[in-house]
Amino acid sequence: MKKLQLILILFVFSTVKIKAQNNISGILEVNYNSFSQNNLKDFQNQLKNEITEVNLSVNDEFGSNIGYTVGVQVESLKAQFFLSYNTTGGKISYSDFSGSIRLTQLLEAYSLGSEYQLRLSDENRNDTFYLGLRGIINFSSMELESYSNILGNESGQVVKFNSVDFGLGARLTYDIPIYVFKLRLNIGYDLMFGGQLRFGENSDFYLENDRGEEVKTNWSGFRSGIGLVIPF
Amino acid sequence: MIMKTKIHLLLFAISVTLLYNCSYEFQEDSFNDINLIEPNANISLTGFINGEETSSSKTVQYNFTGISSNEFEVIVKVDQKEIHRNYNKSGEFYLYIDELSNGQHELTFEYIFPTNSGSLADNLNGEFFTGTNTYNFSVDKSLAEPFGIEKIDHLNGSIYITLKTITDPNFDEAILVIKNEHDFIIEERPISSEDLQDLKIHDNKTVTYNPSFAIKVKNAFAEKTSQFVLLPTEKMTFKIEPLTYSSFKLIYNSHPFYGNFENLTFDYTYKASGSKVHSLNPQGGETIIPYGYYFGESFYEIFKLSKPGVSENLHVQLQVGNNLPITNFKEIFYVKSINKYFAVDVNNSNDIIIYQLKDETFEIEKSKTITSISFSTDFNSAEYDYSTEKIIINLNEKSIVFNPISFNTDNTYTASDFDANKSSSDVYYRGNYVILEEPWFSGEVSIFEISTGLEKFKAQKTTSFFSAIDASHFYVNGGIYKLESGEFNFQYILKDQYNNTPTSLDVMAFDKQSNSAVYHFNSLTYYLNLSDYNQTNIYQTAQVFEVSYTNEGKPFINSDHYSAGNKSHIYDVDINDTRLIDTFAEQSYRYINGYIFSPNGFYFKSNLYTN
Repeated sequence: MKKLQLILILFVFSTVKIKAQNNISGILEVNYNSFSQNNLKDFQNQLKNEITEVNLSVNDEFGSNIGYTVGVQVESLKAQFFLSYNTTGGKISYSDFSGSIRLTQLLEAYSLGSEYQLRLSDENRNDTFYLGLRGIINFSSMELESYSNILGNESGQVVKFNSVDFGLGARLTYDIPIYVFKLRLNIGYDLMFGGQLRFGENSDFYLENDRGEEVKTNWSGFRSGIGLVIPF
Repeated sequence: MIMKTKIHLLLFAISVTLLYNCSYEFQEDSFNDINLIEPNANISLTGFINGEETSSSKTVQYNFTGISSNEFEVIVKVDQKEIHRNYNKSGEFYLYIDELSNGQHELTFEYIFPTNSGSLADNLNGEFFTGTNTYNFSVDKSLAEPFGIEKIDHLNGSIYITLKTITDPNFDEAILVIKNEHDFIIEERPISSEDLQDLKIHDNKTVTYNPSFAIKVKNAFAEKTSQFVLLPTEKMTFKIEPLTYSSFKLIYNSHPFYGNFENLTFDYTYKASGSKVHSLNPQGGETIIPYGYYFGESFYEIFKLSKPGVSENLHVQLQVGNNLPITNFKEIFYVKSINKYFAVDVNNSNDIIIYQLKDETFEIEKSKTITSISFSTDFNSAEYDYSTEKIIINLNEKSIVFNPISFNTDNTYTASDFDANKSSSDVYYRGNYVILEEPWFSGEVSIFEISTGLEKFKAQKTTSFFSAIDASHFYVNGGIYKLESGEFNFQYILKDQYNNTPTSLDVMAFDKQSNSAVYHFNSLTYYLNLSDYNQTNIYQTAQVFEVSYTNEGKPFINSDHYSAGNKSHIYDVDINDTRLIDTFAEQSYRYINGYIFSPNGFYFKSNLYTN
């Protein structure tokens, strides 16, 4: 996975190099985002309740997490194009001296999007304040991993799911020039519509809960970020 | 340009660092800190002690304590081989040692039960406490030599056995083995530990004659028996002394082991008289039994010895009177002038033998085979003529006159010498005459005068034929004939009390001394005085199988009583009374000089007939 991330980053930087002559800036952000994931929380609770032999605890419930964004801002188009990576997870577990039992759902999403930027601040000011309206396509993957170790007898299983999600978002961005960069701060909200979580090995199957309802990702949530805008 | 390159490098470095540090980190696993308490499991064993030596298989019981779980499993192994498995905390198993070798062995309990700790493993039924307890034992299959018997004392009708000192106690069980006099083991009695300690056994149960005792020691694999020691004893004897024809005195001596039982009973049954249980004294005595008895046979009776825990039957062969040296003889006579008895016997080879027997003791003094016959049925009768003191043997084809005093044959009269056509007749020597009787029904009977050879009488039989020993009288075809002046003249037609003439007589006897005849007809026995033909009904019974006379000239009647069995009677003409004695079976008893003789070879002196 990390290999793939590296390739994407390299791709972005190569683009930066090609577009250097067209008033274009590279963007690099570190984000802190929250996610709704109400379906998956529900599904995790269902799994927890199905295991009655021991009292499983919820350790992780798809909480907020750090992500990152790389992108390209084209000032002449008042737009920026970005690629984001987010990850979160759910975990229920129990352990004692005799062993442990654990169920994790590692959720990752690669978001490809574009943002139309409305400049709210004066043109003559060095710092810039934007309202961004965003459209996002999201490639999610979920790794559902079960693991047990009872008196040294280990067993485990990993099942993978994928989905394609769509979303809209809005955010406020504040760029502050520092030396040759701009320091960027932003805050916003993305409303995401999750697709079916299809079984990785056979996409005809998708994830349902015990009520027969589709279990979908829901990456909706608040977004915040701090980053650099690097003019080329 | 150089600056931009540096910036790109810096961006690149930051990006890579970020990318490699932004994967999602899960929280630590939840941990439940459970305090697992080791149980204090204990096994208590019954019937087994660690390190013990055993020489026999046995049941061992076990009980586990200190285990709260209801789920439990124990596997018991001997030398690592499973012999028992149980799911309860208590139980038992059979420690079978027959197939184990001599020497050390290991008994192992492997047990397992759930911890019930509530842990993950426990909840998924996978967490157990296990334990192993190992014990040792040794197997010894060797067996001591039996210690044997030091001495046996026979005191107060009981048995006191002293054992030899036990030098080797390597046995599981010691047993007193008791044999009877026929060398059969009749009892194997375990010896108590107290008796083993005291080296004394009081055997207050054995009642068999001439018992032998030995000591057997055994374990599960072997047994050894010591030498037998005989305790010789006298035997109880039982003697019958007839009192009357229907009662007798039973005389018996002490039982050697009178102290080993309490009751001696005699359940005596005699024909229609019924039965009664008589209580006898174990130390001997006399008992009057108010029932008849059997003569002419040995008979088995059972005497029961008993007390609680002891029950024994004595099978005793009783007899009335004594034995003669010959059995199954035909006749016995007494020759007064030489005071000897003579018995006539036909043996299995059809030899006719005459024995001379000593007075009183009836020992055989001498014997002689006087002739042989072709078939046993060729023998018709043996008679004794008191006046001539001759024994007459009447056979088919011939009649022999034997002189008991010279112990030689005087004469032999052959049928063919008198009538060549009647050579197969039965021949009867009758003083001066010889009678030839064709034995078949309606054959002829002829009387020849010996001196002349002339036929003096001849008749075709329509009835049976009987004649007096000197031919003075005979009966044929319903009439009595008498020899008068060399001629045989008809005298008298026999009639019964209803004035009917009998068609044929089954039995009849003539007697010279009393000049009488006795015969049976139609359920009645008649006495006929031959001097006046006065006929007296002397006895009424259904079936008389033989009539004869005593040596005193009294009719002697052997009869079957349908109701009371066999009886033997003497009719005393002087007192006009019948004396009788019960008999065992249809036997032709003889009564001579106060002795009753059974042709089966018995005799006894009796005054029953004369008192």
